[in-house]
Amino acid sequence: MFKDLKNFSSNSILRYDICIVGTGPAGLSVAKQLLGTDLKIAILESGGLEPEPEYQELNVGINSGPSYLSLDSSRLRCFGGAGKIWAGHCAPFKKDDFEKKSFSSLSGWPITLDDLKVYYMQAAEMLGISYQKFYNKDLLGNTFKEKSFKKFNRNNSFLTTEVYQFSTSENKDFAEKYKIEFETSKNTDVIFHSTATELNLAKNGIDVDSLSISDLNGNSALVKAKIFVLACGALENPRILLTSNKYYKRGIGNNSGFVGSCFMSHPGIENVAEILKTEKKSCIDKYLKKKKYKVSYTTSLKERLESKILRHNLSMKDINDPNDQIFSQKNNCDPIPEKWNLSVGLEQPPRVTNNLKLSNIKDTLGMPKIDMYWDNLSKIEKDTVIKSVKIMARELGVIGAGKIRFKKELLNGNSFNFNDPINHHIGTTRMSDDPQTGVVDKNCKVFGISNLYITSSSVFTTSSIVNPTFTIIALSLRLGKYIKNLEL
Amino acid sequence: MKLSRRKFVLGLSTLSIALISGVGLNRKKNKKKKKILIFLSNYENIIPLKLRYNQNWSKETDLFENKIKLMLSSTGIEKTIISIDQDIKHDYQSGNLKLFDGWIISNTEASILELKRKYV
Repeated sequence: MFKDLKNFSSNSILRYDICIVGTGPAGLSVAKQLLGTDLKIAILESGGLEPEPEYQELNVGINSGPSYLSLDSSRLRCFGGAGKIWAGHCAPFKKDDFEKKSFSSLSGWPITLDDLKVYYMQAAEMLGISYQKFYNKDLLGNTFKEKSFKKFNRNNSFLTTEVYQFSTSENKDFAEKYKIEFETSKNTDVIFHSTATELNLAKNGIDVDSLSISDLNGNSALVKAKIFVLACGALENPRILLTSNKYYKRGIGNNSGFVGSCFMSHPGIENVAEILKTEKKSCIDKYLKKKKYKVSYTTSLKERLESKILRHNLSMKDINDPNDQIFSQKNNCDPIPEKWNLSVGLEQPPRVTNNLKLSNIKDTLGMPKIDMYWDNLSKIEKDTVIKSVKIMARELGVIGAGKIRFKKELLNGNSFNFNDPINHHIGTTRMSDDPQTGVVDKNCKVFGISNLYITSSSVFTTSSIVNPTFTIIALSLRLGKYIKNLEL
Repeated sequence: MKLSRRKFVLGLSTLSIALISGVGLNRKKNKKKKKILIFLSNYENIIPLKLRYNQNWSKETDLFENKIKLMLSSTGIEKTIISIDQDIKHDYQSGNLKLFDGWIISNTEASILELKRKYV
C-alpha cells in the first residue's frame, strides 16, 4: 500500500516488523523477498512518487578534499531512487574481487562469489538479463570473430575482456516494474515523504528501538520495528549512522571508526595515452556495443596479480587531429595511421583518507550535511594506470597491432586529474569479518547492534571495476532472504 | 735525385694495388651500408612521426649494429628481418621495453631507431 507521512497524525508511532529505509534498487530488492509473508513491512521513501526539488536539495553537501565528487546529481529522492537513472550496465564481480590481495591492505571480503551466485541469478532474472551469458564462451567467441578480436583471444594474452549486459529501461527501474506489486501488497506499506533523521537506541545501547522520520512540512513520526534496514546508498547510510549520536558520541556502529571511511568510486583518467594502429585491419577496436551487451578490455588476472595492480578497464576513443595531416604533408612522411585516445577506469582501494564526515552546516530538516573528503590518487592507483597502459602496449607489440605513446603530462605526474562522471559511491559502511576493520558482518548486520542491517554499495569491502548496481541487488536479495529466515 | 727505372716501376705497382684495394674496400663498405639501409627500411613504422626520435648512442646500439652487420653478411636480409622480428616480439612478451619520447617500444626497436639516426 502507498501512504504519505502527511496523512498520519503528528508524532504518530508506527509499528512494523521490518522497517526498510530507501526505495532504490537495494531497498526494493530486500522488500521483494519479504512481499507476501506474514511480516509487516514499512518501506520509507524520503521523497514522493516523482522527484521534487525541495527534497532533492537534502542531498546537497560539501566537498573539502582535492577531488570533486558530485553529491547530489546522481541520487534521487523518490520512489525507485537511483534505480530510475542508473545506466543498466550489469556484470557480476569476479571470484578474485572477493579475495585478499597482498598489495591492498583492507581487501578481502568475508563472503565469496559462491555466496552470491544464486542471488546474482535472481537479480539477472529481475533485470531481464542472462546470468549464464556472462560465462558463455561461445558468446565471447562470436563477439571476437565479429569484430576481429581474435588475436586478443590468443592463449596467455596479457589482456582479457569484461562482458557487460544491458538491462532495458522496462527492467532496470524496479519502482516502475514492481509498482503494482508494492501498491497492492497487503503486508507492505511504502511511506512517502518520510526522511529518516535519527536512529534511536534502547537503553541497553544494543537494540535500535525506533527511527525518527520527518517531512519538509513539519510532520514527524516514530517508526518502531523488530528489524531496521538502511538501504539508502553509500552517502546517506553513514550520514544517518553518524547523525544518530545521542548514545554513542561517534555514532551508531562506529566503534571501529570506519563509518564514512574508505569511500571508493571508479575514477576515470582520461586520455592517458595515444594508440596508433600499425596494421590496416587492426584487431583492436573500441567498446563493442550491441543492443544487449558490450565488451571492454582489461589486464588478465595473471598479469594483474603479478603486476600488483588494481582492477581497471581500458577504453578507446577516436582522435581526429587535423594537425596530423598538416604534419605529414609538411614533413613529406606517410599519413598518420588511425589513432585513438586511451583512457583508464580504476578500481579504488579502500583508504581511510577517502572519507565522509558530518559538516557543521545543517539541511532543512536539521540534519548535518555531508562533508566529503575525496583524496588525490594514491601510488597504487597511479601505478595501475601506468602499468596497465604498458601491458596493453606489450599485447599490441606481441600481436603486431599497434603502438602506444604516453601523454607527456602523465609521465611528468601531472595528468592524474579526474572528476566524477561515473557517480559510483562505494564502501562507507564496509563489510568485514573483524569489527575492528568494518561496520557490518557478512550478513550485513551492524557490529554491536542486534537489529540493524545495512545494504547498498556502502557495504562493499572493495569496489571491483564493474558497475555496482547488479551486485547491490544480489546482496540485497541475499539480505532479504536472511531476514525472512530469522525467527522474529 | 734520379729515380732508377726499377724503383719507379715498383712504386707505381704499389700505388696501383693500394688504389685498387681501396676502391674494393669502399665498395664493400657501400654494399654493407646498402644492406643496413634496406634492413632499416623494413622498420619505417616503429614510430610513425619520423622526426621525433632523439636518443644518445648507447653501447647496446654498438652491439646491435655489429650483430646486424654480422647477420646481414652471413644470413642475408630476409633471415635477419625474420630474426629481428622475433627479437621484437620476445621483447614485448618479456617486458623488455623502453620509453622513447613517450612511446612504449621494445629494446630492439629502440636500437633500430638509433641505427636509423646514424644511417638514414
